[in-house]
Amino acid sequence: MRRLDLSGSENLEQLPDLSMSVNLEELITRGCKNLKRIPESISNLSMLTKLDVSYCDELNSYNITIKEMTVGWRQISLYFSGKEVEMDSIANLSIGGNIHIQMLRLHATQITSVLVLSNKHRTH
Amino acid sequence: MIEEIVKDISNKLLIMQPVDFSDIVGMDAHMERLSPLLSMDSESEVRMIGIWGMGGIGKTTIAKCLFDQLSQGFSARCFLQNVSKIYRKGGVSYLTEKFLSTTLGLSKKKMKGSGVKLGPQEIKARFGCRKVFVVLDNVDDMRQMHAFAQESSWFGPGSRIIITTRDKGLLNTYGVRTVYEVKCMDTGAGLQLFNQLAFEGRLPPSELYEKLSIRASWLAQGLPAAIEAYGLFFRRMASLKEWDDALCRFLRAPDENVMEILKVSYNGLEEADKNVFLHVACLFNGEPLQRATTLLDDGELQGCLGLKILADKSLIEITAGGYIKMHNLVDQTARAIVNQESVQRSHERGVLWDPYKIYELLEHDSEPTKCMALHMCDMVLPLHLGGHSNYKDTLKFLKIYKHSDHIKSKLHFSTDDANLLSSKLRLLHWETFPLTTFPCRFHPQDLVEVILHRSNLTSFWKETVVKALSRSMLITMIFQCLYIFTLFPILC
Repeated sequence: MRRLDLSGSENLEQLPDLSMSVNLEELITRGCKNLKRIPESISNLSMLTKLDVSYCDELNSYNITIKEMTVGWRQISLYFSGKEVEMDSIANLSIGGNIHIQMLRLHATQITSVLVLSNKHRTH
Repeated sequence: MIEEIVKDISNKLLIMQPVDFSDIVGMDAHMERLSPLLSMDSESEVRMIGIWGMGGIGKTTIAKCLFDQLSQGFSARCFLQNVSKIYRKGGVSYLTEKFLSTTLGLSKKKMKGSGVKLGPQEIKARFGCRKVFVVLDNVDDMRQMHAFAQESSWFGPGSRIIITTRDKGLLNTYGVRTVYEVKCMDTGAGLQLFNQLAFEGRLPPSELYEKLSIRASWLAQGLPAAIEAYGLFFRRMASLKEWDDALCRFLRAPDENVMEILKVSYNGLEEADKNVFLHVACLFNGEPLQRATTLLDDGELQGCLGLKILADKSLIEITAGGYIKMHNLVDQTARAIVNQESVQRSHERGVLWDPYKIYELLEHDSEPTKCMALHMCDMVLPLHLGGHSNYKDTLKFLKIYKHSDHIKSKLHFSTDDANLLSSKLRLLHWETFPLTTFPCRFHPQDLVEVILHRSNLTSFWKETVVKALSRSMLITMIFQCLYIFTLFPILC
């Protein structure tokens, strides 16, 4: 399977185990308002380039790190049960909700776009 | 004898008969673009130019215009119209005969008496040193090309050979590197041509007619043959009501004559490529090429090769951004073909898109199909999907759309029914999928894409079960499920 798009499925609470879907390139759950978590099983999907978990209101307190490793090589890490997992293949990430994003060592010239939409102003 | 001479002269006159091409909309632009490709000043080389484009785009007219304007200074010239038709009628020998008689200006009878031998060698012997201007119109097979010239030395230096074809692959194989692609007319030119024909050169009589003429010419989508057919058709329409009715008719399906022109390319395809063509029309027009390739590329359909062939034969266009573009009239023709074929071969239907045919299939246990695209907006009646005992696992592509304005789905589906959820599915695209979880017997093996926008799902299928079972065990399980289902439909 290359693409799984469940956008707007508001009752969906849980995604299937995707560890066997090694060819998955796109996972889109935009607007799945009851989705509780991003399944841990995606951490081994080496073909996954697009992850869109925006407008998933139940996806709470998520930690994400975006690091610039060397020039032109960016790394996105997601946290699954407190453990940081590097997702090398993801080039296109959309995420929303109450999340913590950490951006480290970013070279401004290498980034095509970062869009942060927020209705709350955080002081820290 | 006199009769012979008259015939002979009239043959020659026919070639020289001047046609006024200056009136044809867009022709000047074609001539301007072709001029550098022909490089008429270069006397030393034999130049071959391919004119390539879809059926009805005006290749023959362009070639005629070139012949009319440029062939005067050549010692031998020939416009061989519809090479494909001549070849189908009498093969290579008939083709060479036609070529020789046209070029030498001899009638059929005279050819027999003149001692002119028929065959490729004869062409080389007669024209090897002469500067010729030849148009081979509508070539669709390599053997037709080989009948005239297996190498460029068959014609003298300074010769120009123009080949019109729908198949770019053929030009590539033959080594014709200079190819002029004929594209559709832009909206303005299309409207101008339409008005010329529909109002016999006059302006539309009122603003209302002007608006209708914009809509009518838009239906032809810049394809000259269609603009011509529609223009002539609308010329006969006397009242606004007739105009309106005719518009509605062409919105549903193109003019028969236009379809015939477009069907020629389809008929020339191999069986597998025909299938890919119909799938593209019903599912992937406007989609990224990469996506369609992945979805259509299984052992049976061979979509990767098929899509290349369709592009070569100008049935689809691949845009610069990598998207598939099928001309609206080609798309409509494809859908008409699907409907005709489903009547002729109801036992092996390939593609279904017409809601009425889908009602028929799903409500009356007919034979199953491999591809189904259902637009719920097109559904007039609600469709109840009951449990089907005659279940066959063949469906590969399922696409069900729903308009976001529609509150209630017209498709009623019960948890019992897995008829549409075949295990062969490659594409599962179902907007507002009604079930909360997948039926137990749904075990897809070949899924490439799952798109379930605004679905009712609360959980997915239980992957853990799937993982634990081997493929063969799975199949057994499906059969058991089916078996139970057939015996105790209420329990399952």
